[in-house]
Amino acid sequence: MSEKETAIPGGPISKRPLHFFFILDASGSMAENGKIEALNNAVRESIPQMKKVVDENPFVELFIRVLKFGGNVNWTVSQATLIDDFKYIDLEAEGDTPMGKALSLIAEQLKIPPMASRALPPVLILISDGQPTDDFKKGLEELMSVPWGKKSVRLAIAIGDDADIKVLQEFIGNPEIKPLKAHNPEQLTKYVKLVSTSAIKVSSSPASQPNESGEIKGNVEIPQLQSIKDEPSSAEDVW
Amino acid sequence: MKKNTKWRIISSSVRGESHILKGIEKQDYILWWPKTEDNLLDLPIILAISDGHGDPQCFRSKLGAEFAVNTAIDTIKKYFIKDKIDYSNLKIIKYLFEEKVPIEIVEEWKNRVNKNIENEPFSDEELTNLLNKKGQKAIDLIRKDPFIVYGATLLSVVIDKNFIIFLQIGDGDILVVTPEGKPKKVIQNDENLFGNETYSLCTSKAWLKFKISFQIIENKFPPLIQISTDGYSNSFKDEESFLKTVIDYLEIIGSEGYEEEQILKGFNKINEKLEQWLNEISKEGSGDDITVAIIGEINSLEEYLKNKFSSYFGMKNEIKITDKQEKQNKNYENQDDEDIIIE
Repeated sequence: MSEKETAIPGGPISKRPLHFFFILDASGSMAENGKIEALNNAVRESIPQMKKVVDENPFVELFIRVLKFGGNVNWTVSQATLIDDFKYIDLEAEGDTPMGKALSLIAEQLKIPPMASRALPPVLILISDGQPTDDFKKGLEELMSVPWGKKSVRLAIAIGDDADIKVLQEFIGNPEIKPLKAHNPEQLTKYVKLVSTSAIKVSSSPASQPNESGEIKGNVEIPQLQSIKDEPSSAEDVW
Repeated sequence: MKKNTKWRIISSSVRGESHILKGIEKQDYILWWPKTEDNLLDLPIILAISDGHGDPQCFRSKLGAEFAVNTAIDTIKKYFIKDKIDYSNLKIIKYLFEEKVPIEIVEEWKNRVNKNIENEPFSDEELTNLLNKKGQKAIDLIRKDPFIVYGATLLSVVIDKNFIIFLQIGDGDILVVTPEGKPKKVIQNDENLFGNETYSLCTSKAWLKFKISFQIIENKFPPLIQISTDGYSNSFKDEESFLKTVIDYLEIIGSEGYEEEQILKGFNKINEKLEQWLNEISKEGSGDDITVAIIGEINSLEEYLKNKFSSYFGMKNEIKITDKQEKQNKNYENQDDEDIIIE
């Protein structure tokens, strides 16, 4: 009689989840000079590149969500969606720029639960062409009051010269990493691809790192982004 | 009165699937004392495991983990052998492990690291590799603080007649099964550490980051103790799924019956499969190295499993595990009820 195979002890096994949030400006000013179309296109084009990075690390499951702020703040993809099932929904530009409220909503999602403590550092990508019209500081404080908010990989892209670099820098929270400035659609696509793939790579690195101070801190440095300088303006610049 | 105790340890330590893919060596290390051929041990017992960090700047963390485990065992062992501490004086033991042992372990670990650097300074190849992966800042950092290169965690359990002491710095998990049959995490995770961050023997004043749990044994030991590196818990969907592991191991140990021979058979069942399971778990889960040790005291297991069977079946004459046990049960029926262990 063959002996019954003993099941592997423990409950379900799973790869480590990496939660990725696009936080996108869809305010009225994004309607000018094709900015919103360029943003939609840039995010859409970055997805296959992000998928490629995840495929190279078979021990990570990448979940994507999209939050837009323009007039009001809405999740266009509210559920954490596996990258393989992710479908980007085009944004339309309208209203003012409630960036602070957007960060508050992200903070809610980074609490434990719904986040798991075994997750990888979440990635937050903030893209904006203007200045917050609400209480940005309050939103940022709420985000930073959540441990996973503080530990998140935060990167930002400014669209055009009117973007508030100061608030984007505050969002990043690391003076060595500057917001990237996109002045035309090609640059925007290039930067969205770059920040999303770099952030995934760094967040999903499985190696443990010693914490010297015992303080909660962003544990991620992104050498690829530290070397990027603003590209000189060209004839293609439209923003 | 406590009977003489006999302990069984089984363990496995596997290279993580992601390490295999990247050609990185296993960074986990495990050792216990005393060593016996059949892995049946008398008290006292010291077991230690360590997980080298594996970050590019910790390029000798495999050695760091080995130093950590050997240092812990050597440091604690000397109190049993050389210093002949009075182990019935629990206040002294508690003080010793809370105040002295962590400092001694950290200092001795650093001594061993220093000796290693002296004998084998960082090579050009190691430094160039680090420069390429993490930049000049990382080089400057390890020049200032070379202990980072060997960074590793440490988890240890020390068992004697009257106490169990758990020590931990950094990530990893120590679980026990309570007498009620529930899984319990002995030392909670550090609230400030998320993602891949961990405390480490290389942290400055690392002894302050040690967490110690001192448990006095009055009547019986916990049925089972499980110690593992973080690659194990990180491979499960959630905490509950991970906590279930120690309960499932206990089920397997009891699956053959509750007498010593059967309990040892149960342990062997796990021993035969453990490495295969851990390889599968790493592959489908975190991809990290995984090290697991399972420790049980035979008398306590016997008692626990007997009680469990009795309460499960409700009536003593329904316990039908093996022929031998059936005979035993019949013998019980001829005795006074007081001799039968029923919860």
